[in-house]
Amino acid sequence: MNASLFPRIVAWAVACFLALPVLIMLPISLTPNRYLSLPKDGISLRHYKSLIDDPQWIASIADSLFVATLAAMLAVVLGASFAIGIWRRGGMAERVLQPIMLAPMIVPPIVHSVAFYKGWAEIGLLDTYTGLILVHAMKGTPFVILTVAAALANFDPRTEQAARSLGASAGRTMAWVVLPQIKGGLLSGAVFAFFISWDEIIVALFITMRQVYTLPRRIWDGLEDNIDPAIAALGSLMILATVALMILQTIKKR
Amino acid sequence: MKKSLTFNGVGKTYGRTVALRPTDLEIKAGEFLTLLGPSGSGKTTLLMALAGFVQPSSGSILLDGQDITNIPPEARNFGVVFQGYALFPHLTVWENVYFPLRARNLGRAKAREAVDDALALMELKPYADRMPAALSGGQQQRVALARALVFKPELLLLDEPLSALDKSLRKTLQTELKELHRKVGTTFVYVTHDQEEALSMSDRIAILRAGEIQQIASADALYWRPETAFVAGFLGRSNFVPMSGATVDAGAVTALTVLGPIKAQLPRDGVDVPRDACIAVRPERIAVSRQEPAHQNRVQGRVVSLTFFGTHVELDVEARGTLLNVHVPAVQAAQEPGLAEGAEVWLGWDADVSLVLPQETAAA
Ligand SMILES: Nc1ncnc2c1ncn2[C@@H]1O[C@H](COP(=O)(O)OP(=O)(O)OP(=O)(O)O)[C@@H](O)[C@H]1O
Ligand SMILES: [Mg+2]
Repeated sequence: MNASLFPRIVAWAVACFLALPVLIMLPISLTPNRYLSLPKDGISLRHYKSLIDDPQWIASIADSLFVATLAAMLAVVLGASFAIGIWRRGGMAERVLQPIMLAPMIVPPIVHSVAFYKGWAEIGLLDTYTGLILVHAMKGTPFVILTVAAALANFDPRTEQAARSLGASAGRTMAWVVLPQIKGGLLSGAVFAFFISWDEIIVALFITMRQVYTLPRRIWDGLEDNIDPAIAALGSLMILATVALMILQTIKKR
Repeated sequence: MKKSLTFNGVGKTYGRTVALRPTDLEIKAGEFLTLLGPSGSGKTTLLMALAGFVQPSSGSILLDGQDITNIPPEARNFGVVFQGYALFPHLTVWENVYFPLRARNLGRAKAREAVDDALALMELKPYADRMPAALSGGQQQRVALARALVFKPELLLLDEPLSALDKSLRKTLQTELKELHRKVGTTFVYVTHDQEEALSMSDRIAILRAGEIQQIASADALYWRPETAFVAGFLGRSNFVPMSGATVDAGAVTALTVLGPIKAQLPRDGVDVPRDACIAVRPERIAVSRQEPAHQNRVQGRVVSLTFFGTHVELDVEARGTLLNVHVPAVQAAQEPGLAEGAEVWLGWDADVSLVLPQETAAA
């Protein structure tokens, strides 16, 4: 009895440690006060309303969505091309190039930020969508490479040969046989890359100013004077969206 | 739709590994040719060179006299059934079979009849909407066949299509494949390392060893008139008796062996006695008796072991320090009194069943 109780307690403790900070946002977002607090005398939706009413929040959400979507798309194209190419060649190329391509995961973000600040200033990409999208795509690419490489590990290369022998050209074989079979890897790579960009702050602090004003940046700037409970409202909305997506997914699988 | 194929000195090397030595081969229109050989002997390499996935290091491949060596696989119009089938796991059975027609720009509606016919031929109609993962091994194999045949290929290439299946299913599918070959009339090139499969299905068999075709002939010709000790040992069983010399007199060979002089034959006219040769005799061609027999070759020996196999009895007989394996039909063994372990017996066989074969390849 005791033997089986202890691991359970540990498991629940860990789960609480992971989940509670996230869940605390929900009550905070419902506070009627203007500052960060737990609701005491009744609840209010005013912070949700302010999210919708404040054009600045909307603009930043739009900026973040735009940058993250394009960065994810670019990362998927680059990462998938690299992963497929390297998988084809194998051998030395794979052993040497793969670690180099994964470097953006290892290099400290602050190093990237300084480097790109200098570089983008030279060529006029500071505070532009292009500049931020390029850097975010680069940060997302290694994740796409990893997920696509994992998907390719389960891919039977003979299906590719079969497609060719059945009359499909190299291009059609890619579109009809290879890509559909590694769809899962492409999709999870895209999700990774999207969220890397969605909550990236360090590079954004260095290379954006007013033209491009992403959500993490706005939250960060807001922290300097007074923490707006609208942030908690935003966080809660995102959690609800994620949970809704997960529920949908499990229903679909059934 | 029937086309003949010619290999002119086709060879393949990977660095220093020779996968296939320069090979000449003629594949006749409509025949069922089997490539048989031990693992690593170059069967897949030969087949993949034919399919266009292996670029030969030397030589050329001709289809009805036209050089196709540099034509990409998708333009060759050959059906290929891969080992493990290589079905598309993300497509249904119907879509798998539709694939080659889609690659030929045929719309679904136009292709429907051909796909349905191919599914019907393989008795797969009820499974059309299933995913490949939800099929048994035998059904998957039939999907692979339907997919490879639906576009009426000029040649069907099969790489060990049955090796993953259990024995009884394999037997059924062997019969089905042979039946199919008769029905569609396409040229089949079939790779296997199962000799029974090769013997029962093929019009001709090519025996490969270490990247080289040792002999190519019909099943019974290979069995009764092997030209190398390797073929004699690989296809069925043979007793090999080393030779220390021979005298040839008008085609009749008398070989000097540890069993004494043995009257033997060369595998075909016009060949000389090889320098390093041995005598090969099939176990079922040796007669056993208690009295001295009338055969051209006779030796006396002692039965070391006797095993009953239902249809036949297998004996190991020691004669002058050499062990000879002998198969006696069970009915006949029952009529031979005193045939038991330890018994003294006579072995007898004639010159025409003892072949003088080159020996250097007898290992393996
Ligand atoms: N891509 C390759 N690189 C290097 N060597 C290879 C390659 N493909 C085949 N070989 C070598 O060529 C030889 C013949 O291989 P092949 O696959 O044709 O044999 P096989 O007769 O089909 O054998 P199995 O019955 O095991 O399938 C082997 O020694 C193999 O190691
Ligand atoms: Mg093989």
